[in-house]
Amino acid sequence: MSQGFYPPESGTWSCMACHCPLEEKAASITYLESSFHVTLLTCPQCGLVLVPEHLSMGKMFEVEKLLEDK
Amino acid sequence: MITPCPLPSLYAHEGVQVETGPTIRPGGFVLTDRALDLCRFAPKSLILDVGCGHGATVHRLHSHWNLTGMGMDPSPGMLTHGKGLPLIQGTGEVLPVADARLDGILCECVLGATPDTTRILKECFRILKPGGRMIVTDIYARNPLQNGQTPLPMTCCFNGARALADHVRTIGQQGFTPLHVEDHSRLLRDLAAHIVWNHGSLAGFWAAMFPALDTTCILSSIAAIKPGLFLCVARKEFP
Amino acid sequence: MRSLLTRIGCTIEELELSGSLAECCGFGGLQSTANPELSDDIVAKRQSRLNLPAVAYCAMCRDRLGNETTHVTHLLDFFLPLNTPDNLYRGTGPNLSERRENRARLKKELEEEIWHTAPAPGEPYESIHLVMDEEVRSLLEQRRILDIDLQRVIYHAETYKRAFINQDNGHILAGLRPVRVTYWVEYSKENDGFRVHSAYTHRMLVTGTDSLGDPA
Repeated sequence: MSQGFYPPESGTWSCMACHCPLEEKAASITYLESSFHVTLLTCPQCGLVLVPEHLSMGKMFEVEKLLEDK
Repeated sequence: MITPCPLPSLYAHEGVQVETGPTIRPGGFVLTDRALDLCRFAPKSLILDVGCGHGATVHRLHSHWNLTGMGMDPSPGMLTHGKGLPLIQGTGEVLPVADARLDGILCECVLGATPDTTRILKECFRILKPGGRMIVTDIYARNPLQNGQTPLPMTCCFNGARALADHVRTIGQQGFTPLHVEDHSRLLRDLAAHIVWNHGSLAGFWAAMFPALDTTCILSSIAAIKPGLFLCVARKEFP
Repeated sequence: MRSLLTRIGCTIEELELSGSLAECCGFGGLQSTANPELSDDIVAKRQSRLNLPAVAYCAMCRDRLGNETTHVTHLLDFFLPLNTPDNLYRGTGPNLSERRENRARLKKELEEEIWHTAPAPGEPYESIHLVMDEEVRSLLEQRRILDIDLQRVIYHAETYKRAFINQDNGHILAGLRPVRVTYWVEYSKENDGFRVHSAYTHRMLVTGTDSLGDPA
């Protein structure tokens, strides 16, 4: 079960190498033995995944802090 | 018999069940399976799950482990979910089972949430066969507070959190021999990480669960004890 | 410190808080990392009490307290014959990236002039020229991101075409994990350089993103 779809807050993004629009694909985010299953914009051809700023500095940052806490 | 319960229960809360899954405890079935793996009960052994909630574990005892599982929980609301399963209503303080009848007892995240731990352990000892196994999983405090600890304003296992050695000593004092004591704090941390992912922060989670309570206070009380999670498998020795 | 300064002819006036009550920049205890707001507050208060040019014997205090108006000099600058008294450095301290570059430059100079060892060959990404406004620079400071981190990402993106393009404004977004941190930079090409619009990091591992050692 996906724990959310996280597209960038703005912009119409495409892959620089493959020139194709991005699609919603399942991705795994793992850290210190915990994993999260999410949906992220991905290039359907080369599989490159886009991690947006709000996710990185938001949920991911909060979870990193919690998991690193001794 | 129902223990009067004026405080909100953490376990009965749907939002908590969304986070933990049907077992309503950290790690889901991971710890249950680990314990059953250590115990190696004979097929069809009789196992009672004290504080069974919806009966998810009782179902698993049948479906995955070929054991005869029964469940008991004080909350009738919880039990209505477990249709078709051998679940009974009752509290751990007075278990409706004759002496020396059971091969094993599961007591997962229950002791800490109940006022009289010793009494439950005594009851468990009474109904277990000699050689039967007592499986306890619970929250412990890596930084136990001395007297003066303010209990949380709800029924939950953070309230009874004592040092791991204290938990094991209490189990031993009721006549059990602890066979395995394992630290599984990683599962608790993983649950917290998923709660943070879904709610933005732990404070956000508690505020969403209990809007009427002082969640900052709850959060700092829990953080102060540095909660961990343990598994203890103990045996009732032959007389 | 006071007797050294007196010996070279300085007149000393003690600060309001000194000795055991001295307020310092806290950088030695990493206060500016652990509690940036408190640290900024203490630095601003200390600066407001400096009515004369000041001397610090801690390099962090020198850099945190010194700026174009407060005039803070490091004690060693009076004694090491690198500067004439009129040419003492007392301006604003270096930013995160400049600090790292200073250390790299010092090492290179020591290698060439003292140790006579061959300096390590430069990395190709060092030729990536970055341009950014003050707002982006302070974001990088706050997020502890170095120019060299961004140069590496942009070099990787441009070399292997591993990036995304925003059709709306032409901005490019690329990510790379050199070791344990993934750096993302949103940039656009500008003359012979790259304009940085934003940058962020995460330590969590995400499938389908690039790490060094497994280029496309």
